Amino acid sequence: MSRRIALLNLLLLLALVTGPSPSNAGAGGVNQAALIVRHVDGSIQTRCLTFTEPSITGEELLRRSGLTVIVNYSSGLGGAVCSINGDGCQYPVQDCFCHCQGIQCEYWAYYHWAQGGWQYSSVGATGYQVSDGMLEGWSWGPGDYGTSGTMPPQIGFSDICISPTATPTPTATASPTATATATPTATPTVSSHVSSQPTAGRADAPPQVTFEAMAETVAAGACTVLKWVSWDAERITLDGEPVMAQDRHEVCPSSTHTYALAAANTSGQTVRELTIQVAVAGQVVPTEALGNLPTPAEIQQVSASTEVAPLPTIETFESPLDASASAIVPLSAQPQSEAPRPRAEALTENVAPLPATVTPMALVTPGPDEASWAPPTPFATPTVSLRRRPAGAGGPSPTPILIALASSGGRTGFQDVISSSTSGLGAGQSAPSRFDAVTPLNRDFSLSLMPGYASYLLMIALLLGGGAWVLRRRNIHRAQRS
Amino acid sequence: MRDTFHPVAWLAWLAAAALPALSTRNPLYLSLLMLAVGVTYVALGRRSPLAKSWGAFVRFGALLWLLTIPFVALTAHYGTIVLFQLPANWPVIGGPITGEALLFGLASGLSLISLLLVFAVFNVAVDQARLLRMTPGFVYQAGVVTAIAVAFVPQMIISWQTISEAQQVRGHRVRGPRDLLPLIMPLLVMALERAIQLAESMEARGFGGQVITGNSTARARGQLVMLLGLGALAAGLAGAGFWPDRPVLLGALLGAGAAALIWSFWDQGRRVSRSRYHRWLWGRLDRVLLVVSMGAAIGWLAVWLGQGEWLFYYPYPPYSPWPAFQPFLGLLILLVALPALLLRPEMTEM
Amino acid sequence: MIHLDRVTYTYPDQAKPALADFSLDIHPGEFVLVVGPSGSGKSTFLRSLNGLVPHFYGGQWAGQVDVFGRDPITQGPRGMAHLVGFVFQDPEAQFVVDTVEDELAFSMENFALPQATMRKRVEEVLDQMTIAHLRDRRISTLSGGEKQRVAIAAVLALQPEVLVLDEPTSQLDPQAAEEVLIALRHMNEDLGLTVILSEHRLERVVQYVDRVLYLPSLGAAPVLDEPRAVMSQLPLVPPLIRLGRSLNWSPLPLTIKQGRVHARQLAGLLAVKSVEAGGSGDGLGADSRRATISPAAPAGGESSPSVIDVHDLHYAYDGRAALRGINMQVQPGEFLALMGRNGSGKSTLLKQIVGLIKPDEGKVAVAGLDTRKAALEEIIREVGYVPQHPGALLFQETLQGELEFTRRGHAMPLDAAADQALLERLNLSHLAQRDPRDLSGGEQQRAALAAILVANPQIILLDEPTRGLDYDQKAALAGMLLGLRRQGATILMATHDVELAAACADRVVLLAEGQVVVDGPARIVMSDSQVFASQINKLFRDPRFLVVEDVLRELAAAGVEEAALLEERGGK
Repeated sequence: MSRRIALLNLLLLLALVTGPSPSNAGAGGVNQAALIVRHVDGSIQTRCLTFTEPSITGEELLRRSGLTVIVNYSSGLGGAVCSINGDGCQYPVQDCFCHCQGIQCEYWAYYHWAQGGWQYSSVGATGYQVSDGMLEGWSWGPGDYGTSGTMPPQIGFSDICISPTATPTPTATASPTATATATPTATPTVSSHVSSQPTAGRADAPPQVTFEAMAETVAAGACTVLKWVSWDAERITLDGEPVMAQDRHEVCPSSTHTYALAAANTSGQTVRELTIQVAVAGQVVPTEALGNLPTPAEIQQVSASTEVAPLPTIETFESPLDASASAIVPLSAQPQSEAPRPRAEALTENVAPLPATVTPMALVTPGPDEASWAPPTPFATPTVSLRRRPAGAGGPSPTPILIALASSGGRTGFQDVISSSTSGLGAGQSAPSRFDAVTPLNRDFSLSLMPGYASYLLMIALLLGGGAWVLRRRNIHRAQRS
Repeated sequence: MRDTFHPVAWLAWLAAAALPALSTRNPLYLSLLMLAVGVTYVALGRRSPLAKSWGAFVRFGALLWLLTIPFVALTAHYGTIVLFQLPANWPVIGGPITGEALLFGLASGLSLISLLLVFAVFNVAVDQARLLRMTPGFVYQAGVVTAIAVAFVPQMIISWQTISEAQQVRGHRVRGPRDLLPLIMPLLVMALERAIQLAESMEARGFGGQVITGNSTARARGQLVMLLGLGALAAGLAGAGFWPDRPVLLGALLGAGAAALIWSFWDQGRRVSRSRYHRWLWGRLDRVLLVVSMGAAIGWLAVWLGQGEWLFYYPYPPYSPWPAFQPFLGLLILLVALPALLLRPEMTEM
Repeated sequence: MIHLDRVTYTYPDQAKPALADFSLDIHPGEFVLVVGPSGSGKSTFLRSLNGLVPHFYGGQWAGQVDVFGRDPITQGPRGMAHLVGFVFQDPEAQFVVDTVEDELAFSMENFALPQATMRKRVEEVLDQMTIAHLRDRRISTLSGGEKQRVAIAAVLALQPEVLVLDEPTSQLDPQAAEEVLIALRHMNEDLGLTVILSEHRLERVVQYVDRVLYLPSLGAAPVLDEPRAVMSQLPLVPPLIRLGRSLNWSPLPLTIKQGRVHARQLAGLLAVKSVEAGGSGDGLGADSRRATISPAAPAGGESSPSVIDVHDLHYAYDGRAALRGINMQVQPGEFLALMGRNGSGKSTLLKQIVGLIKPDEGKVAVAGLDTRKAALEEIIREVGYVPQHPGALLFQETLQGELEFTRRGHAMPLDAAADQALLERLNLSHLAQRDPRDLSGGEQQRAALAAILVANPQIILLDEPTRGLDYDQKAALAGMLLGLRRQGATILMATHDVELAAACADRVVLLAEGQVVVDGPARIVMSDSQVFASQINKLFRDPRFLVVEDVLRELAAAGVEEAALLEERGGK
């Protein structure tokens, strides 16, 4: 039995190692690993870490990324992560897993990105070796301790860690033509949604939803993947079942089925429908669906015109001291392994309207308005809505931030983003503290300890003196008796 | 053997001394506690045979502690004070060996040692038989059995000596763990034989007291109440883990369960008729020790429940490896050395 | 009144019943001695009186028992505890608490007696057993005899009607045994307690008892009769009685005093003046008196190098000086008996000789090896040490395995044939595949001896080999040891058993307080002593007569026929 387990572990390890992470590994001995952290209130932090060792532990990845982590070592079986950047349980004052009822816990779940999806880690942070090209996720949320948790958002490795050789050339312009041709095979309602601009307040408008499928027609018994992204939604259901604000589901309809995605908030509800046709055996899959796909040439054009490459945030974030310059993405971007088609569409749509005046800070840091966000309640249903600060009043598209940033004017524009984000954080102390490193406790010897130590030494001296006195008294007594 | 203080006063002392050992890993408090307990031991001054066997236990505990320190220090590679680095590809111990891990290992073992010391001194201070006589009726028999078990230990140590000599003279050398078999088997058999003989002797002398069995309804009632009490307690404890948001209900369950158990014990104890040979007298010093020790114990308990942060010591980042010291807690520990002050040398004669 | 009616009892998993159709009556106030070989059911009978059999042991029971109106079967041990006081063999395993006074109170507390009654009874019992000076002592610090007296006191505290004792003196030295038996006699005569005692050392007690119960073997019919009547039937009896039986003395003497009468008559026939007369006898007597008995001086002149040489040995442990200046030389082929009270240093001296402990001062040389310098492995090739408790030695599953274990320990090759021969010599060959711990006391003793003799040591040390053995087993042991001596072994035996020493030893060394008091030929030392003299010796007070064989041999040598003796006797 143990041999089987060992074999399984070995296979798992191999799979993870050779998994679908096209990494920019070992170029000049530099290894990279990506980290995603979803906090208690749903906000996301990503980090890309460069390291020279062949592998580091998951826990080191957390620490080197500049996050203040509290790990419980007292079990002797490795470390359990109790708190990240102040979120979680403050061990040892509190129990490391302080939000637990039996096995159902709200806790930091550890996931690895493998084979196109998040896999719950069977090993703890101190036991798992992270090597080049791996994507690790930590997500706070409810789950069964040891078997399941709340998945981190799906952000691609390449969105977080840019290859050092890649040259990002973000351009502000995107040819609308590419836009038009690169129509996703979703229902027309999708594009209509994309063009609509949300106004500032989140509750002022009904939620916005993008609902797509990889293939609208499948052969009988085959499967396809439904993907959606929603903004400002409080409750989202797919065919009546609650789902997450942004997710993907694989469906295998036995017959033609119309899936309805409904997103609702206080101001209204948005419903999107998608019909998946099940072709009877022998029937040719209609090519018109495919025909709508942009040709590779168009795709090239699109990618040339827009910045698909992820943020070049890597270099600056190597040392944990730059923690403040964090790329905070409240909303995850598209999964990296997808074809650029749907993204291109949304991309091109949304690139244009981004005014340069928009404070990337607002995009980057949902901080100032964080108070208005309702933190998710414990044991909330999975429809925790990921609130996203719309990009300022009057205009910024509800775009995934990465893209927006990237398109804000090229590299220099991005630098602006970075610098302003830095300054923004520096200036905006209203930014929630959990996005900084938690104020580190003073780990050095400080003079405030001195009075305590002095009284300790005094008591020691007292006891020693008392012991000597007792001994003397006893010896005297013994001498008297004999 | 002349007594020192009333056993109940010593029990209060035990509570005051064991609580710090159980509740904190802070090496400052623990070292102070060990010193206070040591001073008490010195004041007791006796060399009873039990004291010798406890010396063996304490040495064993110290050995265990020394063995666990490297275990912790070498396997927890975490901390900023790196002492030295082992190649990372070594299976378990590879990686940085940190000062925090070393400190943590030291502090963890220290609490075990101090607890052992506390119990060792308590054992020397109190006459086991006297303590045994004070157990309530329903656990009296368990108390006797425990007392005998404790008394077996020095006998077993002597037997061990005899057996190892006998086997040595036969040419047997202990070179590895398998060579311990010729020593352990006779030891176990001798201890077993002695135990059976003692059981026979106790049986022949009417041990077990005169238990008034009572009629079947009274018995059944007692058993039923105990069962219900246990069930209520179990439900209350389970509920505390799974449904913590109903304190009133849980409190009621726990209270009812405890009350039922206590009543059942009292009822059973009533039916065991036993008398006491000795008369216990409460002297002034006994009272002083009792009150002060109880005060210290309650104070520590209050701190433990209320201001838990004062007690914990966790050197790993982000916490500081420098332990804190609260003078108030140090004072409570100092009170553990009170018997040394109160004991007069003449009270400690054998 | 104790009444057993057709009792049949079988232990669990045994085929043969331990008691078969057992019926007897014991009157109140009687002092009954229970005798019989080991394993003949004595313990079973005694335990049936207070219900330990069958309540503690299980098994199958048939028949009726009535002890002063109560039935142990229905009452169980707890119900009988206030009626029957039971004292066991091993003084170490009878105490629950550690203080004498608390132990006395223990039983009474269990019976919920009022405090005033308890205090009164404790005082009474302390006086009855004359242990008032031990009141505050810890039981673990008492000597064996004191412990047994405390045990008796503890059961007396409940004021039972019957006192039942299962070999209470077998683990004690003679003086301690004497104390206990005197106390029992006092209980019986002054307080009228019924006392039922099982004992191997008949000589100490047979003169006091009213009746003797003899159990010949397991399941056989008991013989309950007057002491003299039973003694004339018993196969194994003390030397005095054996002599009396061989010479047909009548009435059969039970005490030395009774025997002296007959011995004086013999004196004339043997033309031997008694020592009291003070006359000089023949050469042998004169020689024996002329040979000086010097304390701490080696006997005779030795020209051969001694195989054991102890020179000015000092040793202390636990703050006590155990050995203070011992000087002793042992010649090869000697049989030496070390005698002395408990705590006089006998065991310590033996351990010094085998090298388990090293001297603080002085020197111990064994077969040319200095124990301080030589390794234990070398020493144990020459010296074999049989400890007091054979149970400390035996742990293998078969006896054969024990012998092989010793061989391996000594790095000797395995030799099944030699092992078999050894077991034959010790009369254990039929037990070679048995678990050594299942053997009887005597067999275990011999098994331990076999395990040591495998290594063929030239010096054999035995520490109290006769604890708990009956006469038969002791005779067998004596024969075995003499056989070994004939083969050239040197034997050192620490013992209390005067008869065994008289039968086997050439030389006796008396130790007291860690010093040698007397060191001389056995005959001389024993006849000169009051305490360490054999019965025959006490009878005749003549160094020539230590054992029965000596007397019979002399008689034969003097050419006196049995017929002439009988005629003389008949004439008187």
